[in-house]
Amino acid sequence: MRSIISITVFVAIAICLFASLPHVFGASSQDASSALANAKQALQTAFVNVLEAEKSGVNVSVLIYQLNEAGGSLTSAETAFSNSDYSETVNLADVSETLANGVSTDAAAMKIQAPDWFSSSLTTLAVSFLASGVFIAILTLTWLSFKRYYLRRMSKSRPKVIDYADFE
Amino acid sequence: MPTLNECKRFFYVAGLIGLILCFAPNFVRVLDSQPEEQFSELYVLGEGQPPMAENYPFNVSAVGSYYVVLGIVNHMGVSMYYSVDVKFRNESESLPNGDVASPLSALYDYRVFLTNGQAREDTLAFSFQDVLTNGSISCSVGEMHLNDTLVQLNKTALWDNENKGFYYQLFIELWAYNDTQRGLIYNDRFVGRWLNMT
Repeated sequence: MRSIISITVFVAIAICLFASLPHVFGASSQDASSALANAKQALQTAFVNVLEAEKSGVNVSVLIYQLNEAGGSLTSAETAFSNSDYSETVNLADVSETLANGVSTDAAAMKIQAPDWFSSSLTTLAVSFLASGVFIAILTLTWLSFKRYYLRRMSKSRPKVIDYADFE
Repeated sequence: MPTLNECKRFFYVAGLIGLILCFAPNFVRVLDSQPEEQFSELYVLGEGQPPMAENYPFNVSAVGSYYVVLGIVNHMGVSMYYSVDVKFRNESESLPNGDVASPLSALYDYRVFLTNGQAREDTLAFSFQDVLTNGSISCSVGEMHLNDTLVQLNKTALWDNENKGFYYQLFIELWAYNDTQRGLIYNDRFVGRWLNMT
């Protein structure tokens, strides 16, 4: 029983030590490369989402600003990588990736809320048809009442007899 | 007094004008969606406040620190994702050719996101280290600082008899995200400045 407990404790300590190795010795070049690649991919995906949101008629100025922030962090991460500061590279690349993922989420949410170009065009067209229908109806009623008034006035007017003898 | 036919004509004209006014917002919308000329601007400006197309660094050495201002303007009609690649070459190495980027690898790059019509200017500071001159035969540059990044160059230039100097060129390529190809593609735009290493 005692030996089982000893082995369990030994395995637990070994696992803890293994898990804490990256924090003790910092990130490796491979970790940094992987973090940079993930950040680049996240940035690209975020831009595609922003583009789709923009096509739906959303104003994406704020999202573009945030993308530039994420891009700036990625550039700093690459600078850290070129200076062989891999821990800083991982930190900055993670910041970039988090920002980019946030932009992706916001862009998707804004796209759902925004009316697309077709539906907003349809609304404008529907309003135009409604307005023109009302206008034509009013114009037709005006024309009919005017016509009635005009004909009544014409029938009431007396013809004037001209005596041609006056001209002679 | 106008005849009934004349009045009828007046009502027709009024009806037509009314209909045009009712549908005018739709015409405006369709005209607005017509594509304009689409292009991206890339330019380089020299030192100064404000930066202008003069005072470019030309005679450089390992002692000084230099800078240029890089500008990008988006006229593509939609938001754009650009990558600015900074490269450095001697006279024998190749520049971009048409829509093919230079085969030289980028020493430094950064990303720019712009909405349609938006412009951005960034400062590119650079300096050189380990510059060795072999009389009037050749010159080699060991390292280069681009903003905060130290880059290994090990680039040699031969003496240019015609222009009397050791000439290098700092050039900047503009890459843009292509939705079809799902990646950054060289945008057929580059700017460069010749540098005489003294």
